[in-house]
Amino acid sequence: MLKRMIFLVAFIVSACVTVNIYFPAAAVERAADQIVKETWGASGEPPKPKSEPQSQNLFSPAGIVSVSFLGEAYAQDADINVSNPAIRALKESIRVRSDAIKPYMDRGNIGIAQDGMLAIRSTDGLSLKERADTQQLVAAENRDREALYAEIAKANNIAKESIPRIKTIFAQSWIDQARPGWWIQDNQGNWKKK
Amino acid sequence: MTIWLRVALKVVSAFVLLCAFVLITLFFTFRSAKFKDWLAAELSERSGFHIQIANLAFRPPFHIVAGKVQVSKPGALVLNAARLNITILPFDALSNTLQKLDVEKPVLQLDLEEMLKSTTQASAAVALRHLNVREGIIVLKKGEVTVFELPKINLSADNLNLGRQAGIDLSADLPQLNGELLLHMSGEPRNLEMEIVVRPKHEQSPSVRQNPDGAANEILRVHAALRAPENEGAEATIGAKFHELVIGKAQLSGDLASRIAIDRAWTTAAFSGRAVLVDFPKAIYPAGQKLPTGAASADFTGAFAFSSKTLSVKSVEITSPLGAGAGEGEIRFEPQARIARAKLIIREIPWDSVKTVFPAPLDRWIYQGRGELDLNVSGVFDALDVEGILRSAALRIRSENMNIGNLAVTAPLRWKNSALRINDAKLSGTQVIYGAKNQWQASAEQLLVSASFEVERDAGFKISGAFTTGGGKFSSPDSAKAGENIKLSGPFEIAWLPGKASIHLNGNWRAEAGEILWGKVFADLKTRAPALEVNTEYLRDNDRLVCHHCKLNLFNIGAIDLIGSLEHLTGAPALRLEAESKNFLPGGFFDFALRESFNRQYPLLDKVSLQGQMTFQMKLAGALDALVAEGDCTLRNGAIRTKDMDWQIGPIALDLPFQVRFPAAQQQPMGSVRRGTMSIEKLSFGTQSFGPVTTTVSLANNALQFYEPLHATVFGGEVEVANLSWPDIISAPQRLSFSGDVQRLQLQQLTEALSWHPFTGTLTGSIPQVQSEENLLRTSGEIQAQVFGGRARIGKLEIENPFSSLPSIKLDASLDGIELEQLSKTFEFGRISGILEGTINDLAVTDNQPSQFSAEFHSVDRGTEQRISVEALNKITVLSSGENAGSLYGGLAGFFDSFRYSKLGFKADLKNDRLTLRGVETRGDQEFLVVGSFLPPTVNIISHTQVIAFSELLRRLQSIKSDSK
Repeated sequence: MLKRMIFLVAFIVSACVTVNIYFPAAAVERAADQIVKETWGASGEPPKPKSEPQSQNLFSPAGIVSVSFLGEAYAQDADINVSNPAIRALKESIRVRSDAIKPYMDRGNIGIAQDGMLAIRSTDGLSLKERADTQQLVAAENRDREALYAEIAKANNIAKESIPRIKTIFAQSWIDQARPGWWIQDNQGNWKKK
Repeated sequence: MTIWLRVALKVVSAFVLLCAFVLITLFFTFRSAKFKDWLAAELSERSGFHIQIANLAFRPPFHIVAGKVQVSKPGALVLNAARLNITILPFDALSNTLQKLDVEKPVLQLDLEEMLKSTTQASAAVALRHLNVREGIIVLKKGEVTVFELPKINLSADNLNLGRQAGIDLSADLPQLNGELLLHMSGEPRNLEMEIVVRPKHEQSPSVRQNPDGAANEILRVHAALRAPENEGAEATIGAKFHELVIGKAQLSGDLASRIAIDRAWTTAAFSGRAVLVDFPKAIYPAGQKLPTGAASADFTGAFAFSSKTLSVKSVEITSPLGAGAGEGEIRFEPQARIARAKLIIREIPWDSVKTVFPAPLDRWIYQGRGELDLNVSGVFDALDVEGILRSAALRIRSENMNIGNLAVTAPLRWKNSALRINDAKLSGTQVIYGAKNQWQASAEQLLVSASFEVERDAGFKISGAFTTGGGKFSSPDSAKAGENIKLSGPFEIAWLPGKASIHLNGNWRAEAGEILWGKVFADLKTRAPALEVNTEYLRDNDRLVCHHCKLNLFNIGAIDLIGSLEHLTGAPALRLEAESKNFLPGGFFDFALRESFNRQYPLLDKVSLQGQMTFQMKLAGALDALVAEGDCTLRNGAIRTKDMDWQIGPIALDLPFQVRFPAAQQQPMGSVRRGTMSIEKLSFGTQSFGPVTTTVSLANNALQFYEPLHATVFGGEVEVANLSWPDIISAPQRLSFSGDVQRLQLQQLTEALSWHPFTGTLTGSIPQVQSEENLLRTSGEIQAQVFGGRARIGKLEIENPFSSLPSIKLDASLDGIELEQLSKTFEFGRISGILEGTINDLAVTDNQPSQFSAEFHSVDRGTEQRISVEALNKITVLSSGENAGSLYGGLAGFFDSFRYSKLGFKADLKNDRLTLRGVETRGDQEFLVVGSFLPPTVNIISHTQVIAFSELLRRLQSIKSDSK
């Protein structure tokens, strides 16, 4: 009887598997704020390059000739990584494109949807050429944003399933940093002026 | 035989003999001249007229025929008849009744002066059961002057009674009206009154005057009075009421009041009056049931000149539910009754009220606004010539599918010979919109039409003219397809033939300006000046537009001819067309519709230009979103090149049978796939060029397939691409697959062409399959390069987003037997001898930068010399530490050019811009990049675990490069 009880408890304990997926929400929020500021923060100004820590070296002759140097390891702080060629290229692409998009946002033609992506809110006052332009701009911008979120997830070993959470966090940053007068879509799908 | 029978037989025989005797006696009596003269004299004495009869005859049983009868007074002929045929029954003679009187070609001459003279002679009371007058003429004279003449009078009346009471009473049946006419004339000639009543036959009444309460049942009541005092002018009044009086198809109700003043000499009669007609216009135009009906009135004044027989209407003022009018005119009665001139101006024509006479669908539209019509009328009554002009301003028209905000119309018109012609009508509309919500819509801010219109009875109609639109627009229900600022103009012709429920539409239209957005494709029409030539026929019953021949011509693109039909035109259009072009320029089309539409997505498009001339013929079938196109196309002198001529493919010659469909179309059954050929004369990349390349090719069910390998001799070796195919170029143009084979490409030439650091060697390999799915191009197999005395093998080659602005290349590579001597010399890294091998896995190159890899390289001791120069040591130190160690090496090891080593190498991982560098050997926390040998001179380069920012690594590489110079 005792053996059976022990076996049962052992079985129940072994059957209780806890999967703990870590998602660095706070770090993603900081990264989102930073990227949004760098790309859409100011019109026409290239982002200031982030100062990156430089390696240090130390020479120490040993033996006949022995060269020794010690590099400073990056401390894995609470921030996530948002720098690699793909992310840099996407950020640059978004930044360059923002100058073309902002006039349409000022005029209310393009708005920020509730998922943080851009949407054509109204074509009033747009010529067909401008409509074609806005279609291309919005499509290209949203494609870059989706790619950016995927790259951030990949660079930080965040599961693909969590990309929507990154998107949601970025959405809040896009909305928070939107200029007054830009159109934002609320959770009910209604457009409101910021 | 009894005695009674014999008596009866004798009596009958005697009666028959008596009748025969009487008839024979009458026959011969009427033939005798004496009896004829006696009868003429007797009639003359009794009537007071001089009567002459040329011929007189009796026709059994009771007919008397008198030929060439003349009734006259001294100096004046009163009646002249070619023949009188009188039928008298024996018993009727007792009651002064003639059974029947036929009068042929009588000419009755009435002298006004004689008529106005008092007469005491009583008229005989005579009744006529049937009166027929054929081709009679009444001539009204005054003295020797003919005042008026009424020709071609044909009369048929029954039961006429003359002179039973005081004055004249005449009654007659009017079979045409199913009624009877009662006429009462009283008074002396200078003060004459006449009452005429026509009423239904069953409303029997003994006299005109005895039934005043029965007026409501009368069809017509006319009261006329004439006052003609001696030596003064005459005056007449006429009052008439009519109720459902049938004249032709018209059924008239209303009244007339008129006053006529005749001058003393009876030369002119001035008249004025008012006529009212109820139920207008239904009363005279029964087909116009939907027209608004009501009372119409006309107040008129005028004069009649007896001498010229001219009726002048000085003014007529008309009010009616269809508008108000005014006019004047002149009618002449000699030599034939005709309108000499008449002018009628109709104002305030309510378009929405008269629309019911318009042909469909115009009769269903809603009109807000009123029109004006100025008419000039002339000619005989059965062939009038009407000329005028129709005007309307600020007319607004709406229908379920159409709206015209403001339309001004000016239409000169002419009706002659049963044909209506409108010449050079001008229509100017603003805010013209066609199409209901949630459907295709077209609009124009301004529409100017100049058109001529012609319609003949039973001969259809034709409208021809020209139009210009300004600010034209169109849009699809979802607004994804739209056009704006379209300025379209050109001639057109619309024709409808009777018996055929179809309308022909021909035209030649040119768009001088405009922009079109078709999904993602934007096109500016201004630069291409598209011209559309149409010869079409719309079959209303089938809702089909038949294109007999249509032609679309775009400047610098070419012309496309179309023949076929569009089914369900006003619903969900479906094409059944044949299209053909003999001069289509794909380069022009690329510049017109594709470059600007997709350049943000594919920046390469801005750098590319297309050339060549294409011919094609194809059949198009299906709905717009499920279209299937099948045909043949030919391309000559085609070329694709970058604008800076960095690379160029061409001339290309293509003969391609094709069959493609839009995604919504059903897949076509695959029969035998027709193949074509493609040949490329030359392909140039930088300084390299090769060709020609020829292959068979097919495009069926959206699948593009090349059957022969594309073979090229390039960079000193051979390249072959085989099994190249796109499974679906419409739905998934990025999906493609092929296999590749590379043989002995000279790396020297290749690296120079790619502007890489040049190095020697050969490249050989085989990739059994390259497959592109969505945004990933994946390969199998590997490529080997014989390089630096050893071998490099490249596998798992993938390209992410290969057609985007940010492609990412991934691969695994391994090096084997690489001679460090060659390698270090090639890259000017000092001098290192020995053999190197290793691997680099998960290498990803994005935006022309390595974004990740995991590498491990180490030297292999194969008994060869292993030395490293001071320069190389320095560069390794710079690369790994970031600092120039020249002074160190110069001070401590200045006696040696190079050092021996037993082992060198490194392990490196790059991810997220951070390079983690480890040595080839680890001792505690020391990482040895170079491990010295036992024999001096030797060297160790020791590192600790290094994490280097990628930007710093680039800076160090740049530093090494500049030191080398």
